[in-house]
Amino acid sequence: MSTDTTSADAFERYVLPEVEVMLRVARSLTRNHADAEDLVQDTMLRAYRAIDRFDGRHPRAWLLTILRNTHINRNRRRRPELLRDPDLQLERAAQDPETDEALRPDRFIDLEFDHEVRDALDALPPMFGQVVELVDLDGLSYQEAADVLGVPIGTVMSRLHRARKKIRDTLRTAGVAPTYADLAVGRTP
Amino acid sequence: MMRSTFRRLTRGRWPAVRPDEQLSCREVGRLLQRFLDGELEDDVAVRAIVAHLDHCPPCELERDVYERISTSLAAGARPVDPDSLARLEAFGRRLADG
Repeated sequence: MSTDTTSADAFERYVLPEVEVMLRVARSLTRNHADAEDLVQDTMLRAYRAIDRFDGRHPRAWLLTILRNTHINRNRRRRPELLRDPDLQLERAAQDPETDEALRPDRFIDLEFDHEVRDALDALPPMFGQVVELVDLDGLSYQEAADVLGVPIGTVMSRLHRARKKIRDTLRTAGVAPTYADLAVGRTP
Repeated sequence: MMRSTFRRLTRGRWPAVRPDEQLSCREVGRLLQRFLDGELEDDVAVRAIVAHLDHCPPCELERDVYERISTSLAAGARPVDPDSLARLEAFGRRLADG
């Protein structure tokens, strides 16, 4: 088997299955679909060039580290944002219909809860919101989130703890998440 | 008391929970996020938290609220743009094919 074939096999085995995760993470980092796609493409290109030096262990962690470094380099270069594809924007707008499920009366309280959760997430300082996005929305482990952010795993834990606590407090202030006192009162006949 | 203090200082990483140890609400609160995320690898600690939650309604409520927040966040995760994904996968295959 030639070296080229081996590299191609390794790329197919280790990189291609992770494209969707990379795209999710890139979206959390860039907050922009077009930039996210561009970032993943650059990451794949770098991964392809480096695949011969990859030992095959923890491919996701390896790729997310490349993605993070690529993201940092791109920000340093301050390249102008790519123009968004207007057709894609229209298409996306059409993909957000009011479903029957969403209009069910017994879903209203859940929808209000979901809405408050999303608002609370958006209101978090970026440093904290990013960790929640990586773990809760993108499904990364703590170690993977630490790799992406370039911070120790303990920092991921503490940021996540504080961020979720803040979301919980916001929900309680908005009256959509019960406190124990609420439940105790609710139990009286 | 000392164990609790050291555990607070090490963010719950040391000393390990003993099999007969009963955790306080404060300690459960410190470990709860890792427990819910499946990031707590110490089975003894996991069992101690489960035992605490079974007998502590306020902590059980706390667990429920955080679970609901995580479920809501995960459900609200927008799917990746299928066109972007298809383009990137095609790009990857072209790279692999040389």
